[in-house]
Amino acid sequence: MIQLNNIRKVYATKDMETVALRDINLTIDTGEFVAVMGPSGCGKSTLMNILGMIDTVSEGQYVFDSEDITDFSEKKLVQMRKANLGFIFQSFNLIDELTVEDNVALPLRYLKVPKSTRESRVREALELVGLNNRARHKPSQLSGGQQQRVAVARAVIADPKLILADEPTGNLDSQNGDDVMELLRLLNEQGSTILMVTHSEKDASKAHRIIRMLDGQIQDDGRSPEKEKAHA
Amino acid sequence: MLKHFLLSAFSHYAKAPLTTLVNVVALALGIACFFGALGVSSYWGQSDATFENRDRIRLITQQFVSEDGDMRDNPMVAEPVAKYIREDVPELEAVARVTSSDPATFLVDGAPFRLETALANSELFQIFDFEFAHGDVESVMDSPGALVLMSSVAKRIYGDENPVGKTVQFGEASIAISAVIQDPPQPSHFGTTDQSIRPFEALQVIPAASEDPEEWWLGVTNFTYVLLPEQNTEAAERSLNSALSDFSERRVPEEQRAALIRLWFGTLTLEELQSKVLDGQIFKDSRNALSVNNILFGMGVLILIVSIINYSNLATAQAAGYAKEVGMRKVVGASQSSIALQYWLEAFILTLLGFVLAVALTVLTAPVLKAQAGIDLMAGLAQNPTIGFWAGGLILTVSVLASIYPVAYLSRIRPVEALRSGKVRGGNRKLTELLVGIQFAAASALLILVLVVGQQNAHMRDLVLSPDEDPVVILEGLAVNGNHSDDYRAMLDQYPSLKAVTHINYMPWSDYRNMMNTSPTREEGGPEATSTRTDVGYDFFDTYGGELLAGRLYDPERDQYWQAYADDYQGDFPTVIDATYAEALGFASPEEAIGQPLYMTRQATQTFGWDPTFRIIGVVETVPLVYGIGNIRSNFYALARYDSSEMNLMIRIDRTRVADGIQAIEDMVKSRDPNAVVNLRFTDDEFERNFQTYQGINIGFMGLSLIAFAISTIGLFAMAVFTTLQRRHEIGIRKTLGASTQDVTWQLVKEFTWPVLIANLIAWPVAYYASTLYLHNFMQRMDLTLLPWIVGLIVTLLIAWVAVGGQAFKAARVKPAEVLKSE
Repeated sequence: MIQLNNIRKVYATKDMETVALRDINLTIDTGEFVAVMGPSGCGKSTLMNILGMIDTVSEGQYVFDSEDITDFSEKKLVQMRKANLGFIFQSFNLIDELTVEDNVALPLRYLKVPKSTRESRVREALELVGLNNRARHKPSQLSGGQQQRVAVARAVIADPKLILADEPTGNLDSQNGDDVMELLRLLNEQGSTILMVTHSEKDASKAHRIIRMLDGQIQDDGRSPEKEKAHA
Repeated sequence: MLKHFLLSAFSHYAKAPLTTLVNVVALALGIACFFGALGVSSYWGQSDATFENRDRIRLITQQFVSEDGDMRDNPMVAEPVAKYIREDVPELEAVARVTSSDPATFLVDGAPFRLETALANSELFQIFDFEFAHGDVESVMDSPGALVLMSSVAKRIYGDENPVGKTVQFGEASIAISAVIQDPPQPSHFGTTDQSIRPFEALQVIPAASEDPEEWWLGVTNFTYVLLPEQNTEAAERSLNSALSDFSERRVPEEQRAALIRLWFGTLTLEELQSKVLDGQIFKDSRNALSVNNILFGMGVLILIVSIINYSNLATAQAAGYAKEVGMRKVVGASQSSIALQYWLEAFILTLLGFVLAVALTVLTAPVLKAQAGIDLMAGLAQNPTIGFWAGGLILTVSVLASIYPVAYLSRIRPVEALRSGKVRGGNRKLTELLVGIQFAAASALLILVLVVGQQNAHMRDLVLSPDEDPVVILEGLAVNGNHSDDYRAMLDQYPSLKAVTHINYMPWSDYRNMMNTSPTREEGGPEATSTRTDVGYDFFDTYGGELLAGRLYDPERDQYWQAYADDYQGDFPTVIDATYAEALGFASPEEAIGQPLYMTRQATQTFGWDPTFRIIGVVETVPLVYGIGNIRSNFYALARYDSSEMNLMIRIDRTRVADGIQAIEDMVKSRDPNAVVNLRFTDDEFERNFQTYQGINIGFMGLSLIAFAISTIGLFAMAVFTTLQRRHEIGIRKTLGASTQDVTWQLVKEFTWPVLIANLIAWPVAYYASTLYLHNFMQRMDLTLLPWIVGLIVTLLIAWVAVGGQAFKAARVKPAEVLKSE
């Protein structure tokens, strides 16, 4: 599903250049649950941003679903993103002025899905995460765990091919964290491809594969014959 | 602590220089408008300040409500008032009256000079301490019937020579010049120009004792002044007011009072006179009870409020960026009052800077105002003894009002929230939108008024000014002494560049008011209507205009002047009316009115002792002759001719030979009266000259509207900068979720559009009310259309979109990765 070939990402300022990613070669298959781990500053978030099409590469090739999107314009990336990806962030990133159902419905609005369809799909998504009774609440009225579950609902509502989760349990207590991870596991069982950045070994163990990064490079892409067999 | 607050304030300004500049400029504009209004009001209030007795001088006023409901509130009174006030209040030090000025031709060493001359009694010089250029009070008092000249006039006629003792010829009489007085320094209600309230170039002074006024109380033609005594001033004033309270009942004959619903007398100080007259010039119907002073002041306050709201909004949005700082201050011990004091100080400094800029703006624009409107704004402000109080009070008040919202907002910040996330919203979004809406409501209402006033002005221009038609000229006071329009009509063949000649009893576009109230039936409760009465000669309609719609016009072969009928004449008086009057009287068409009678109302019959039957012989199209008198929008034309300086020749000149025509008029008039001073005034010029007030109003509104828009727009722009900055994170999320740049831009623009739409809804009824009030002043008024309102809406939306759109687009282009990098 995803193919990264010789990816390099450089951040250049007036005074210096920072190489955030170098020589990244990565393949993610449909239906995989992949965790990315590494110390702070190793390039996990940069990798996540590139995979999430919200940042571009300096060098290399990015093939998504058999399409080379390396040189896509911002406009085309937006189209690809909204049609194929779902995002879950560490600090939830819900919009404070919108209600829970409006937050969840947001991706469908940008996909110009008609209102009646939107409403039914929002109900389904909120049911999936167990928050139907909070549909009219504002994010500030929810606990951290509930907010993250809303974020999960928002991430899946458009049936994305790939869900990107950046430290999804980072701001949660262990119980809520477990609940969220359970949701992700369920989604993966239902067929969603998930890429998760995490510091938590516990959370990472829920994934099929752990990619370990250091200093902008992949040290271990988690593919071993046994693991591949187990996944298959 | 003060030093610390000051340093903090300046560091905040430095962090947001654009916002600081916007705030200072907006506050400056608001303060400048307020002080402009104050300055104009002060200037008018200084009127006649050079006269020593100013505070003891009172002007008697005469107010009445007539049968048609018209209310007149006049600084002029009937002729007999002075005589009876003198009798009723003997403790008054002096009572003087000055009549209206009429043009009079004097011969000086054989050369004719036409001077606006008023009659005044000698006590005028006890009341007003005019500065004498030549002669003195004694020389005036010692020479009853002599002339006193204004110095500008004396210089024009005699150069630097002292004219006291010289004589001028007026008809058969020789009149001596007893003194020359300096033109009173402005502002003063005395003067030599038409803009002066009490203009005259020469005064013929008669002793008060020899006065024998006509007992006619319905013609208000005199300024009557009284001088309260230096001792027991208040008691004398009470006595005067008491005498005036029932003056009408005691002195005015009942038959004359019967023509009016109510007649009463009062007083004005000289300070009040200027604004009172201006109110009357602009608001022709006194029932409006509006004051130009109050309106100006109201406008100044409105613009100031707009600028205060602007500051409040921006400062609150800015305050969101100080949340962490304020949180920390609270953690380390800052109280609510300490926070309030700190941020009030920031507002105070900016208000002070705004005030300085406002002073600079006022100094720069004052010469323009003086040149355009004759108002010395700087003098008005400088001579206002309370100006220091106003300045200090204003700075304090504005800074307090402007800081209320941001201080309230900052006080509510909970330290723990601010310190944890550093993210706090910049104020309540709904309140912010409401405040933006109020700003735009003021600007929108003013813009609609500008459009309505402009449309009405254009409407008047279209009706009156006709570049493709023959020009019409007026020769004031020349249809007299055997030189009637009929005499000149007989000479027209000799002057082919002149097409028609007639006469009229007033100068078109002046403040003329003479009304007829008639009915087509003598029955009680029958239809009746009031119209302007215009006395004209034959060929009036051929000369001035007014197409015949039904019947016929006045014909010298068939109709004679009304004055020619014997006193006991019982027959019909042939009458021409216009179509508007015919409709008001209930006639279904002009044709239906022909041959019908009109009768004066019972009260008018009692008052004037005259019960004629007017027979309608013709109905003409309605043409404008005056600006407007309340609800009266029509003309009743009387075929009249009398020997009075009110009678003015009116001549139509061939438009292809205007220069020849002017010369022809000079030749024609001088052929009958070699000493005549031919002073031509084109009716179009008269319209323009008198129209300046309305043009001035339009320019005034336009200026205020522009200022209000400027403040609102730059405020909105700055708000857009702030808001989009604050919402970068949210924009990043939206774009991550699939929003395009267009989606985000449109969302932001839409959010800023709502307050502007609401602003228009608020502004529309206000603008409608103000527009109808303004249009009420015109006889020829346009029909209000939706156009100004629609244009107002479009303009405000466009301005808002331009202000916001650029920022919205810039913000919408943010790259999500940059914004969400911290994740």
